[in-house]
Amino acid sequence: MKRLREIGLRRGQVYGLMLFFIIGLLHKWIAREASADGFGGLIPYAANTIDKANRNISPFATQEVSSLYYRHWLGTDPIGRDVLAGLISGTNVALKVGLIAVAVSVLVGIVLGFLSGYYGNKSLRLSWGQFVVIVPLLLLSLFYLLYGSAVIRVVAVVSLVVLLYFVRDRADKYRRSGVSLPIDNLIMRSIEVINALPGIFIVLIALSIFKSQSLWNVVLVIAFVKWPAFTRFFRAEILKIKEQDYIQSAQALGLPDWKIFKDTILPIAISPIIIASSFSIASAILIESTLSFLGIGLPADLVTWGSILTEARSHFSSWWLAIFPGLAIYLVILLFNSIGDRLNDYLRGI
Amino acid sequence: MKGYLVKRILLIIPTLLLVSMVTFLLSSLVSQDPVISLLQSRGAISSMDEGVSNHQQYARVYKELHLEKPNFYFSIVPSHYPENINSIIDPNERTKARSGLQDQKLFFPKVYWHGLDNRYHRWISGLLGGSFGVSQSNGQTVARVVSRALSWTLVLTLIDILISFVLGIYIGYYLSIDPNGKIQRVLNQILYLLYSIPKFWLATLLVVYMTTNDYGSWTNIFPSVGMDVLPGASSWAQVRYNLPKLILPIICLSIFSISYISRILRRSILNEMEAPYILTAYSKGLSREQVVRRHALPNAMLPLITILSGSVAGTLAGSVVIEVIFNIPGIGRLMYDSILIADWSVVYCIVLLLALVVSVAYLIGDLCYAYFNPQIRLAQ
Repeated sequence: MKRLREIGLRRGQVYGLMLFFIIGLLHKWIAREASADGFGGLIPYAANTIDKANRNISPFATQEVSSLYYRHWLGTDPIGRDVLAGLISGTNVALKVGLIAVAVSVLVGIVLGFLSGYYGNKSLRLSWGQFVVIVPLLLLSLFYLLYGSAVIRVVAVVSLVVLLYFVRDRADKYRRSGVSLPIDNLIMRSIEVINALPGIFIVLIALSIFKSQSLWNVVLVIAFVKWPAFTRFFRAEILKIKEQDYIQSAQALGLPDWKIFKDTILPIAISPIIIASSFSIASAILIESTLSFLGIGLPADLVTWGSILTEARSHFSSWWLAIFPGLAIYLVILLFNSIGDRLNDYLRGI
Repeated sequence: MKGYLVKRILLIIPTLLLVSMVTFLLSSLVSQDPVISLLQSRGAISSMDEGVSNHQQYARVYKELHLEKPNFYFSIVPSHYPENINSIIDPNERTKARSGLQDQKLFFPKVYWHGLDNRYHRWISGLLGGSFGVSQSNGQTVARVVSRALSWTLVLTLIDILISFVLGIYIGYYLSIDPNGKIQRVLNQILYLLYSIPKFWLATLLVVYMTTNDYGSWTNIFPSVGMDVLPGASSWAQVRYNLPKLILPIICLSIFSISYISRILRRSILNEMEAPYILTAYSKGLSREQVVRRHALPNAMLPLITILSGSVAGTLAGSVVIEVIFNIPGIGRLMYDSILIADWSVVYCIVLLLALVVSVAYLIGDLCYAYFNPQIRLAQ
């Protein structure tokens, strides 16, 4: 809390962030269906609880409830689900999507951006002998990753990591002969292919591949559209840092690349990534709510902000279905955008 | 310069080829069965089971769509897989075969070469011959369906870009003449708030409040959602006839882009104002307004070029949800509908078209940047 204030976040931003996290993490206890003895959560309705007596009821209308505790403070939707409970369940979905999708894409972006920026096209050199052994092995482990059973996949991932470690260890930056792995070209070309299409189209196509609808598919697909941006950010940052004297002297000292990355590059290059990830959380939540608004990808019984908002399209007179979920999305996006701006000012020393 | 241009144009081709291959292979993984959706759209069957149980009909359509051919020129599959799983016509058998194949513990990769008689080759050679294929949903050619949708999206996007650039540049300029003025500060905050509004929320609110009588007749300003169809008219005539109905969608699109452009321009002008040449301009005796208009603004426009070329993708993407909400039969809506009913020939065409538009926009952006900023030498 204090630390957050120190880096220049406003009081409102810190409280907003805390509120978002608390509601998102504790949603099951805050909105909980009341048991027979009348004891429920802060709100006696779960997101999917159907109150048959109060369908499509306005927050200001007289409601058929036994006490004030059971009142629907933000109204109900046409099948009788409490809107406030839905918003709380939607907070959890937004939290999961925003944080996990962005965390995955940041990780991928840092690893690939480092490989691409630090090694470039020429630095990872293998002798012909190593090349002939290693490259087919890499392809083979990718093959088993694609087709194998669960056990084989784990083995494939482990051997992939070992192989990559081996490549990195055996590669000699200063050798003249042999083959260089054009890792920069490989990564940048695949990013170009992904960037040639608007993100929402990739998301739509990718989501139609999955046989079942689940939140994790959506998280995965959003992470897939987001990693190119982080890779490019990190790569650009590394290209700037790489030419600095202290990196070259670290290389001349013979420090392993991993140590150079961990001790000198990461602490400097991470700050634009932190700024970008704040904006990225906002846009990931926006993509998720757009998808649930369109009714794609997420399970039908999962109540999200977008799924409540979409009900307003068929019930024009129910203004509470249009106002509240949209306001929730708007406030969270505003929160993360403004945090991004504050971090930007702070980390650039303004 | 010329060499650079040729090189960039040639580089677009492999990107497009890769995009086409990736979407093609992705589409072959999709679980939605195109035969069933074709039969449903033709009205031949009412339920999925009915389509599967009528073997003859199913097999005929399956062959008609050339689905029995392999997907690509070659395939690398485990050794116990059949050479071409597409040749199993019965959909239940096919799924059973797929799921049964995963049980085997030990296997090796095996490479099959299918030759030119595959689905990708058929499609790409048709494309090079100028034919995008036939849309399954209504039997018209894909080129016709897509070009009709394109006229809607083009009108929407172009009007949006025009309005947002004129207004955005003017507001950005106005904000930076006196960045600490009272009106300017308030306006800047308002633009910040507008920038974060989700488009689909704004659109829903406008539709709910502005197009119905539910909240009093005085809020019912705009015509209701959904485009009128002029029977027999060309697509441009349809667009012109429906222009009043496009006002709300254009408002939704341009509120975002106006706030985006003006905020970027403001920041860019304020950055320029730090430069030494501004001091020179002041020392000539120019007022701040003159300095901004004559010296800072032209230089601050440079980043806008890059932003415009980069935002083509975003504008097209943003119009998907707007088109769905306002029922505009544009590209985004066509793509959305086609994916839902597995009408892949339409999806491929749109994907390639968009990839082409986006790549060309990037190229034009880079060229303009080099043209307006002589410090950049592209040939190097």
